Amino acid sequence: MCPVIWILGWPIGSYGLCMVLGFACIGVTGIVRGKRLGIRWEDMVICSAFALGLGLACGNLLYLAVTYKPEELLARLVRWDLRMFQEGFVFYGGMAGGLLGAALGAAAARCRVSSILEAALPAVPFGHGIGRVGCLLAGCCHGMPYSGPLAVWDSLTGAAHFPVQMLEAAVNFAIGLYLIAQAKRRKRTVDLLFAYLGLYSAARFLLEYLRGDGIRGATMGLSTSQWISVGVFALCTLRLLHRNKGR
Amino acid sequence: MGVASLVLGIISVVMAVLFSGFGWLAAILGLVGIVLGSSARKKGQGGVATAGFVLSIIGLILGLLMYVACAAMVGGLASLA
Repeated sequence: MCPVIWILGWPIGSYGLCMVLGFACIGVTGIVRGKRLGIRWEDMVICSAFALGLGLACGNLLYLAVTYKPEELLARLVRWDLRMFQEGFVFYGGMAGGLLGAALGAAAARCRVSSILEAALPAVPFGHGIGRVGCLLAGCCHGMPYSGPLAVWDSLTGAAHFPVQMLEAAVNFAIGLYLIAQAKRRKRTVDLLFAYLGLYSAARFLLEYLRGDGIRGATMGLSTSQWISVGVFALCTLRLLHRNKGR
Repeated sequence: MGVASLVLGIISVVMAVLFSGFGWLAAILGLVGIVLGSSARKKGQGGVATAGFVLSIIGLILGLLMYVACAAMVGGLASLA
């Protein structure tokens, strides 16, 4: 595809550019919505920085955990081969790290984490979708071999793949629109969060069957992300049952 | 805190521009600089804190822009080498 874009003679990674645009989408939305909720923009920036930092770190660590054996990781660390920290991310690790970071940032800024999430959460699926466009441009996280309509030709590998990145982006945008609609109906932030996690985990489980990159490993017929999706979906279902039981 | 933010912002930008292989480190330094700059601005520190905050954001963005692709792509490139 197009892993590098040349701007004024400078090589810009298309994946990195989409990461920046995705994070900017979430950050700016958080600041604008936060202003209406009475959150200072400096506090939103602090929380966003914590969320971004921990999100990237946890996403990378989960990627390393599912891709390499412990002895391989140790050997690379001993050799001081730090390139592995630039190799990739797993979204679920990033999500967990982002939520933890937002909580820590809210504690540092002395504001409520529920307010921070209320401001920024509806934009997270959009940011994620933009990131998936970056995956399409870079040719990573590609789909299974496919030669039908809308097949994506990868000039580097010389193969055509299913455009699963675009499908994932579209699903993320749809989830984002749903969250915005629910937020307008004044749904509680924790309900929005579990709705997002439940919808995304269900979608991700199904979309994994259209993926063609087995680099993140598989166990008993399911990929690592599918197993995580099962766990997250089960957690959301339990929470829904518990909430309905209390009514 | 404002001065620390400024220093980190400068290092972050320089690292991102001159040492693109360490873009991830520039991004980390940028993030820390952003937190320190925002905290300093909250406490009423002006000029230096704002400069550090802005430079840290630039360093973060430049550091992330160096990211070409995630693993599968890197693996694909390596297999073609």
